[in-house]
Amino acid sequence: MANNPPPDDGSLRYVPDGPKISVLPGHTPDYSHATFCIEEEDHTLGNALRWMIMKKCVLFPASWLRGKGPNEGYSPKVEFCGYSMPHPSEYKINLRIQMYDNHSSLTALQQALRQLDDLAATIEEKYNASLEGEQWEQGQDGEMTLEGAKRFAQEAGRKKEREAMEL
Amino acid sequence: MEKIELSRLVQLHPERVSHVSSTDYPGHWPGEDHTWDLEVFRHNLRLDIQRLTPSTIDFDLIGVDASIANALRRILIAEVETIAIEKVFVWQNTSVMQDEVLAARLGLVPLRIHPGRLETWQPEATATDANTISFQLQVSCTRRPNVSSAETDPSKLYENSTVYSSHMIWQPVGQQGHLPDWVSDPPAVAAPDIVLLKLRPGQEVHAELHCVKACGREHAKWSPVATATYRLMPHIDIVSPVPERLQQKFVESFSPGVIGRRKGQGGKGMEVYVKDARRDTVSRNVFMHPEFEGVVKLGRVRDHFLFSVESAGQIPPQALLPEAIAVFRRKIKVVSSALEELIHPTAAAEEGEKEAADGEEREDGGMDVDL
Repeated sequence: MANNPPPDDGSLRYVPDGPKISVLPGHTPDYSHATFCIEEEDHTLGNALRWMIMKKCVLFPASWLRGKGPNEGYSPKVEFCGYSMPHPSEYKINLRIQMYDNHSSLTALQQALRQLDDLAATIEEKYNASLEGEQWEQGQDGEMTLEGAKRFAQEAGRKKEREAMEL
Repeated sequence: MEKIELSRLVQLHPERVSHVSSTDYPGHWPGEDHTWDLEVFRHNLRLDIQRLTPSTIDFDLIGVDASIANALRRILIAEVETIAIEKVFVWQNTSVMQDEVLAARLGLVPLRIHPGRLETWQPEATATDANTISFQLQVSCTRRPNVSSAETDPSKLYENSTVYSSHMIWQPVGQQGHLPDWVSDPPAVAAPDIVLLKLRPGQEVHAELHCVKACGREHAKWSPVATATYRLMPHIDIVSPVPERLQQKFVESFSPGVIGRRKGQGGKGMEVYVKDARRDTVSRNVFMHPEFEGVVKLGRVRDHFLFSVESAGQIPPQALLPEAIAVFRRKIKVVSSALEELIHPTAAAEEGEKEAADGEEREDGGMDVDL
């Protein structure tokens, strides 16, 4: 793949080579082993996606598999998943997925994206619950004045004395 | 102290760390299922806001992998969009500060403007009221009349001897001055007392400042945080009692407030206990003393992240994480729909691909595989 020329305005902005996501040459015909190139993404999505793909990709829900016979639910469907940024100045990642038993890596990637979205929604849900719960400590921002610094030092000194007394 | 399963601990030894990587994958442990299950995740996930101030938020995120916590941190720093000064048109500047230095400085001034009010700036765009906010900076310094000749303080001698961020005045353009949201809460600087430059009598500065929306990846001035960090929760396990004569020394081997002393069980003598592991800096000083060998086990909880996020002023601290999550979900959606397009190309895209294929030979065949 030839790199697109840099933009005319003299900036070093990265111009994507192709579509947002593509399959690199060398995949198996059934896409059980494939490398995806995702444009304009980095470690932020790459590592999270790698974890999510390795995490499950059992093609049935875990609850269905539980108790379905010895170790059936425990067998991973992913042989390997890893990602790399080919070069720091190229804003893209290559994501390699190898599946067992001719499972499709496309399906695995689709599922992982959906599950990552569920995960993000769950974190937000919990965050909002915690915010509404109002169990946090309400603090004030420190003022960075000389008087403030002196007061802080005095208070720290007193606190240290108190702690020494406690011991 | 809360009992933590050994598998969740990164163990810290005097000269090395062990059990660093997470192992919660299917097939890693015999007889253990680690398949992704949303309900299990929801059950184990905890998010506790610990402290909130006008500019900072501290929260605990428990039960996620480092890759997720790191994704959130990276998005907070580099991908949540805000509005900052991008172009400075200098009409007059007779101060000692060069135009380019002044412009670079102005860019870093945090602006308290809801990012939703503007469209993201596109590289080749022209400035319109939908993607640009304009500020005016026009200050000239003059001598104050009737000041004692013994006075040496420039702020008393001269009018406008210091130019502050509050001298930047919003100039509504196009529709902006008629929108109720904008009128009730006009664009302003996040802090009014940022010193921009200093002037002396006869000097003046007059500039037009164009602000656009972009993200921290482009330039740090658009980053809404200063900064977002996390660390892992320290874990201290006192495995055998510390004799009373050594307790003072033991307490002092940790950060203040980490270890406490109380009446021992059975009412005899004093014992040490872990009061607040969160306050420990994990200096591991306790390992320096041979008398404490084998007394304590140190570790960090691998999936317990203590986030500490400081807002730079553009977005209130409690709104930062929801913004980051929204960005994360948008990123996922973009990749998802691109993947969908790759597997089942729509007619419009096929047209486009055909045109592209005419120009150069395609390396990769069509996606005609049964899934």
